[in-house]
Amino acid sequence: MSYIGIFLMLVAAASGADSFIPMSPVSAECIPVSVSASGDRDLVDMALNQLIEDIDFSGLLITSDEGYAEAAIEVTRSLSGVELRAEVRSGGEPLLARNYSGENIYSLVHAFADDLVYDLTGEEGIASTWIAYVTRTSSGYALGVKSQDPRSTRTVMSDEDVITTPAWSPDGDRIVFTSFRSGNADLWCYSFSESSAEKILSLPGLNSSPAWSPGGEAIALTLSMNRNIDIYLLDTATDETTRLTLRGSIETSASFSPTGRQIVFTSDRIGYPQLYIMDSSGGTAIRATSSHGYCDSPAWSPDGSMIAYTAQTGRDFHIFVMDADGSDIRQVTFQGSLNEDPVWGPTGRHLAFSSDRDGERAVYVLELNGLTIRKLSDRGCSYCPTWSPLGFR
Amino acid sequence: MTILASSILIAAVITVSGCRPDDTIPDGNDSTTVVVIDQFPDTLVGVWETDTLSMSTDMLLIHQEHLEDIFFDYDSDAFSEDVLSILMEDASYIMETDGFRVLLEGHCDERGTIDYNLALGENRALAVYNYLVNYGVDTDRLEYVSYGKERPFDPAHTEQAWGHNRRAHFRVLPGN
Repeated sequence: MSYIGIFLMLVAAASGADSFIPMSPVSAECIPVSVSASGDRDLVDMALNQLIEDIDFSGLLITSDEGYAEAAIEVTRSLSGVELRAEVRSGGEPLLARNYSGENIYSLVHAFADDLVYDLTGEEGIASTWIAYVTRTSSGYALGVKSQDPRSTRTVMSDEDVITTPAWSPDGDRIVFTSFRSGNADLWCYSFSESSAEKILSLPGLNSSPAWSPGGEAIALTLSMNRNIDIYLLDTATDETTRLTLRGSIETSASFSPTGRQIVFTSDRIGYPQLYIMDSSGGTAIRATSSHGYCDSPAWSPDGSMIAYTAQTGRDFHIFVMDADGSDIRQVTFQGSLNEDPVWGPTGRHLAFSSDRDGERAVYVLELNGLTIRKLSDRGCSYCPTWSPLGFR
Repeated sequence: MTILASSILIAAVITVSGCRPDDTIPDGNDSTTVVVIDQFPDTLVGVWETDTLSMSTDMLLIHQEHLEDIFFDYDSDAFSEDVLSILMEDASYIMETDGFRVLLEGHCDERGTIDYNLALGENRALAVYNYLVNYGVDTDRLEYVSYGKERPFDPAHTEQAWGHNRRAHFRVLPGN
């Protein structure tokens, strides 16, 4: 009886793997905004196109010929760089007028787009945020940062040996990552203010897959110094490590809940990788996935309500989103054979992930409301995205 | 001139405070200026601090050629029967020959995720490490590291490439 029951459960799990309800776009809830631009003829098209991209990718506003609000921008060159004058009206009444000055037109457009989102909806926009990712070329590996516009990726660290699993700190100034340049998978920390990287943890074996606690006071990561692969907590002030998982199986890929009280992670304790949730001080873990075979790379959403992850469906790997209690599983990628590494944008309305949908692996950004997907990376084989926090341009 | 100076001052105050200016104006008669500063400098390639690299020399290539890599099945760190004889030959070569050390590299194919493959590669390297130690190789002569799927031998996306990439690689290092 129990064998039959288990068999039926397995059949249900296996047959269910390819039949998840796709997440449906609900972009009708966006506020329509009409846009126009004038000014310097070299800048005006760039500015208008970027403004449209930013608005349509916000998940909160959408460009339309008949907008609830009309945004007009005028772009000019100045001695020190560029200026953007923005006026927003609704039904003939002025809503806001604001001038932006700076060095780069894209930065000004992003700043205005984020202000527009905030002023019309009361929610933060993400157009000004950056995404870091790893690129592998024939000459080696590079960690780069990219803005969400045509400006090219800027290299942060490059090396002949492997760089992987970067994680942007909550304060925005640091990216921790794993580097093999000393012959071991060590944890390094790059600082934008220092413009240098230093080795912060070098225990024998893996020092990989770091995840910052929401306040930045701890990093959950994967260590294997005890000949077994487990999740540990690294205190960023004292450099002390505490072991959180004690099993003989593989435990890796930790992600904190936004309260910092729980950690979702991957374990193959039942023979293949599944997601589990435990207290962030360790202890008993509860299995969070049962509908897929292989599951990995969980990422807890900023509002705590959802977990994004990678799961195998037949021969392919796709990105899924589920409620944090394991219910309401929705598939969000459908193209390519290897979609992985989902990370949330800082407002929880976007995901970045890597995919081979266009052939070579590249980093993509996804807006969840309209299910719009855009290619972000502009280099060769690129993967392992990590998103900057808000307020970092 | 004074008007220009005062507007720059306003901008500086807004920038330093970091607060979003409350300039949503009902009457539309006034406007403020926000200075958008790019926090990323154009050149930000960082320096690797406090690090030395250990390089193997050409003399060690002879040892390298005597050591054959061990291949694995998908999502497995178990030895198949075919590789047991290769493992034994590798182990006895290391036992009988001085003047080098071995870094055991665990590698995976590109299917599956980076995090889990780093762990799987670690278990593959460790499986070979444990075999060699049980055979009698001195632990001082062995190190192991997992590259997961991060450094494939064959970057193609085929079954053949995947099989080629699921391995424990013997990398000869200087030392004894």
